[in-house]
Amino acid sequence: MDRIDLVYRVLDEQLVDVDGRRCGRVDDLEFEGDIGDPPRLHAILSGSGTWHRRLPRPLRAFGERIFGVGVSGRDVIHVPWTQVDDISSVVRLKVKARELGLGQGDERNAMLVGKLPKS
Amino acid sequence: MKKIFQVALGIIAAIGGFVDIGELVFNTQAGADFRYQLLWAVPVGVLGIIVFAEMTGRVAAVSGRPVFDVVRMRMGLNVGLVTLVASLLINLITLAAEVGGAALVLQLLFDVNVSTLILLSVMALVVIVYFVPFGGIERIFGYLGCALLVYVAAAVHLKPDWHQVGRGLVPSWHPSALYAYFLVGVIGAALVPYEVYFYSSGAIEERWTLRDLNLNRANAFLGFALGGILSIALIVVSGEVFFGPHIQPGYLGTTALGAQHAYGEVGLLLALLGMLFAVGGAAVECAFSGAYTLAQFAGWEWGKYRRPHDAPRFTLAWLTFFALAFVVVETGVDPVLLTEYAVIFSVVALPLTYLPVLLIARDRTFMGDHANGLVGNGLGWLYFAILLVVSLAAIPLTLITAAGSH
Amino acid sequence: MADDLARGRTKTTFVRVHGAELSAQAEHEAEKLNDDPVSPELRGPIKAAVKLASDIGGAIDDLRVSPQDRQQARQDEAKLHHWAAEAGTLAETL
Repeated sequence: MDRIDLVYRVLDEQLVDVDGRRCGRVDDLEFEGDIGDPPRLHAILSGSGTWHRRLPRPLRAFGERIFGVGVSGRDVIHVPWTQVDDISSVVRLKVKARELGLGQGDERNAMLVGKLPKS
Repeated sequence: MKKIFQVALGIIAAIGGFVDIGELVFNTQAGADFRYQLLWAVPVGVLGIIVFAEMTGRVAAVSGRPVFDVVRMRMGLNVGLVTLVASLLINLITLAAEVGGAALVLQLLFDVNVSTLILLSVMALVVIVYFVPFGGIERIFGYLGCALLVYVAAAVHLKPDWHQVGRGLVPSWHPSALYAYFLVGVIGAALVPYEVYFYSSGAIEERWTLRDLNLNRANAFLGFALGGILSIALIVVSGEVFFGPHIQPGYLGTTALGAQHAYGEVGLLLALLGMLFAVGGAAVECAFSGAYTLAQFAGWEWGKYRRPHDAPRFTLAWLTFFALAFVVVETGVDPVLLTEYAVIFSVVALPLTYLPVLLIARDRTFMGDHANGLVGNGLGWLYFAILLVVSLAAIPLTLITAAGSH
Repeated sequence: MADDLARGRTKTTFVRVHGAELSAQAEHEAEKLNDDPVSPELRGPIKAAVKLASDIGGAIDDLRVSPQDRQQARQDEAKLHHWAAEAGTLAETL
């Protein structure tokens, strides 16, 4: 496809890695480019740390406290646009989630859940 | 042949899984207060859930998207967050009501301290959900919930005035706030959103594809419709047994009395067994529905088909919901009262999840040739209008009638 | 419930548990009637209603204590019918 509606077809979509594991959502998009130049889509941002910026202005400070402040590598992960393989009902990535720093929440909690009996 | 068998089993499970504590409470009270005059509300609610569930099942089979994926994607973060928070709170109240209801039914059977039974109920449900595969859970609760069919038999056995019953199925209006409140309640008890979230996520769990679309329709149409007959039977039995003596059924025990009146001890035991598994099954659907909702919104890995440590946050989510429900019920709040609030608030929040599903189901960009046709769109928008009216009326009516008290 | 008990068509545990709920409700209603302030002309009917609630609770408790006694259950059923009719009449006069 040569044209894509970024808000309709990319923003808020499910991210899935090369193994088919769900690993977050497209919570925001990052563009690069100088003033006057056409902006280029640079990266997908994933993580609750982006949410406060999308809330209505009066709620942003509150949102920061609840959802996180946007610390790169912690509550916001940069996924370079070049790592996107396909866009259908999900945004499919070319590599494993771990290589991009995605799905850390599941990794942290896997240790806790691992202590439960095998089902 | 195997396919027909599979469909039949799915329908049986859907019948047994249709009734939950909402119907047990609202339908019994509606029959006691208005005899058969609210019967027509059941088909309205049942057709609504058929329309909603069929759309979500179709969206899941065609696009691989369950409900809260659709909500987040189509409505964006802000509306999505409001819908998420509302859904989770309502889910928690509903789950607490179902768990409390299960404990009350066990108490009627065994006369043990209710606090102990609440703990046992939660533990039993957690163990079953943790160790039994998805299909097995549906079957256990669905088949055993069919014991509630004793109410269908009782409705016939009590020889109601069938002419009056027939008239009750024709929409009528009574200028009474209480009538309007129960109208909202009976429709709301049939159109519970958690059942739809569970159904849609179940379609992904069971890997439905385009070939499963007909199965989807059979499950939705027949399963819910036949489940609706159970709902109608509850109103008829209640109308026959409680309306004349002006009995106000504020307890699950009173609902069970209806079946006992027709068939004695056997009727009582079947009613209590059916209630236990219907309500237990609903509790499982609720807990999972909450976990699906959270995981799908946030983009976490989810699914009963994954081992617990492959979807750790999803697993912790449903365990946490059960724990929170346990805490709520142990405060001693009346499960029947919780049920009334759960149904009413569900009705208020329903348009928030219904609209995004309708918008996607009719969108050819996502659905291709399987988008809503003329009939689908007509019914879809008609029900959106109905849900909007019911949603706006619910809270004022609850306040005016003091939650249906007299 | 009393009728089913007299005819041996119910379970003892059910009568004990559900009976406890109903008897507690009767007592609760009696307390509410007793505690709420009323105008002088209503005092007579309210007193009658409180007595009714108390009698009803008592009869239900009899059922719970001796669920095997069918004759007692039959007698309590007749009494409860009578009191239900009285309560209906009382409600209509208010």
